[in-house]
Amino acid sequence: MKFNKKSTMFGIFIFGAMILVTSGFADAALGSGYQNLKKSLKTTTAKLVDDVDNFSVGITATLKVDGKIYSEETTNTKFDIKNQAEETRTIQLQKGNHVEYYSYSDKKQYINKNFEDGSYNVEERQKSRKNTRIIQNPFEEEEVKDVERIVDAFIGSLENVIQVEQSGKKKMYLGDIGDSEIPPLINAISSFAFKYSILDDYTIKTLNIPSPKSNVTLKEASGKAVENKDGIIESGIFSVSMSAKDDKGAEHVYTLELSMDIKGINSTVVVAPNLDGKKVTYSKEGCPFDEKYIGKYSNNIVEVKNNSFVKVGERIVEITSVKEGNVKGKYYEVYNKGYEPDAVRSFEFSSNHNESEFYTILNYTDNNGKKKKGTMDSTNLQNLYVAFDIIIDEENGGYSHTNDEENFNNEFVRVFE
Amino acid sequence: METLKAVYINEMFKISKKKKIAISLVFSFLSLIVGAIVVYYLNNFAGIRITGSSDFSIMVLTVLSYTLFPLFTAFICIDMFAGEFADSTIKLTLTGLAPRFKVFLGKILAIATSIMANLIVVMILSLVVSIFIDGSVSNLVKIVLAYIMEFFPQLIFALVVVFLSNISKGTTSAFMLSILVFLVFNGLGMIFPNFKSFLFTSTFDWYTLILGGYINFSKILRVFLILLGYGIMLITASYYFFEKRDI
Repeated sequence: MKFNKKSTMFGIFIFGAMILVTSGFADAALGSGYQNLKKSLKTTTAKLVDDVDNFSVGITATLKVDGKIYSEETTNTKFDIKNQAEETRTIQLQKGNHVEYYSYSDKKQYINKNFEDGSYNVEERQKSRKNTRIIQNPFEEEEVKDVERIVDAFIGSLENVIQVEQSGKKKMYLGDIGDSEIPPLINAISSFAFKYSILDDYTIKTLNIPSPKSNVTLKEASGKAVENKDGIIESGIFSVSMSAKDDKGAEHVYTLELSMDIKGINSTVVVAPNLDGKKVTYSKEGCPFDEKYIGKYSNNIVEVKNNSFVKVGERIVEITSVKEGNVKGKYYEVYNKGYEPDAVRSFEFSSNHNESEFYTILNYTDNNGKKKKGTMDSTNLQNLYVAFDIIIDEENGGYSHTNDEENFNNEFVRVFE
Repeated sequence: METLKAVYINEMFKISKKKKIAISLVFSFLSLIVGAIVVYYLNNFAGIRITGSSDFSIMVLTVLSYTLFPLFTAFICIDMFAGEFADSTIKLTLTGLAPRFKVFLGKILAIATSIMANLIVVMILSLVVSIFIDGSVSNLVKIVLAYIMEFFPQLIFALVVVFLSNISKGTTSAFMLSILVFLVFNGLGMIFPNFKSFLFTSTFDWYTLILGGYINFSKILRVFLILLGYGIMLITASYYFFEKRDI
């Protein structure tokens, strides 16, 4: 009898364990819609970045207030990953005005169109430019991985908001969260972001929409995404509604809609625009100078004597030639009588266009015979900003002065004779 | 049946005499009032409705289901098992006429009743408070359903504590073990989201499954079966140790 009771209990225990394990595994295998969607997003980016030769993306963003469209932006971007080329067309609709943008870039050049006169700007790429890929997989970056972990930990019950449905060979992700289910924390963060970053004072003024003053709250968020048979998310629609009262106490509903589709996988062709017969301005990347900059630039050397400024001389930069983005010139100082120092500086400099991606780097030999570097930039249309004796840190895109010469003035003003 | 009823009434009487129950109700009431005041004052902080338009009752449930509910559930369970074993008052019950199984079942039923009572009190209070804050109560059916659903994971947690009280020597170790299990299970759910399905702590907020516009019934069924599996295992295992234990 005793044995019998024990084995019955053991049997019941095993029965309970079986229910737990089978339904637990079933639940874990099906996963939440959130986990599925995340996996799908990762597959999509990985495939687009690594497996596919070319594709195009269309994104439309719309801002509606009380159902009326106030601003709309449509962007079409074609990517040619194999040849590292990219073409973007954007149309903005704001208060009935159309604004268009167009740009094209590949390994050799960057082209953008000026829609006011139909002219083009072509910027020749630097040869030294590192071949960074036109798109990168964001999920491989350390930062994004950490963000993912944090979101995973805090998503909690919201995981259940996203549902998955299978229709034919396609998968559909649906998500809809109404006002009563939005957790207070999410509501607070998104309302804050909405009030201070999406609808800031500037946007409200330019678009002339009622300003959200009080009772800002998330009303509804919904989204839909379709995954095709290759596991790529080919389209998605997302919409968020916020409600808020304006300064008169009237309530308004602000809706932000976003739709995206990926198409033309392996059938997108990206070609540079035909510039025949068009007005084109050519320039070189990282070099703002051309022939018109040949000339003399100067500033004053000033000292303080008996509590008043006294001009003791002039610093002069002369650009003697600009060819193919390479600048040649000289720097010298001229002192007034009676103020000459022991050594008056004077040297010639030259730049090599391919040396830097960002700067016009001047190479020169100073009075002591040491090889040094400087940098030159244009300011205020016709003037120059020149720094000598610097160390360049190309990786971080910056430079630093090695010794700050007291009272050295970096601004050189064009001399018209 | 008569003996079970007698044991149950006896256990309920013991629970109602405990100061902890009064304290539990006072704490629930206080946290509700504090919550109401915070919500009322924060509602339009910096022009943002911090609490959004979510129902006050659901908000209270979200907070209490991870804090006060499990804490007081643990107190009651430990008192009833580890506590009575420790101060040997269980002798009085077990040397009586009722068989051990009925004593065990009576205690579990009494625990279930007190969890339910706690939930009902909090629900009614929160509904009254939300009438004061919002002027009306919306989604009444969903709120009632959510509180009913919350009963199941809380009962599973109670069974976990009962199991721990039956295998541990004293009240303190039972309490510490319960807290440890609660924290470890919650932590595991955060670190390994893929294994969440197996952890009963991740079902503490399963009532959100019925709040949305789209209700996934198969998911609700799966979670219910997981809870049922836990329940069966815990009851048999606890009873095994309860029966074996020397007075």
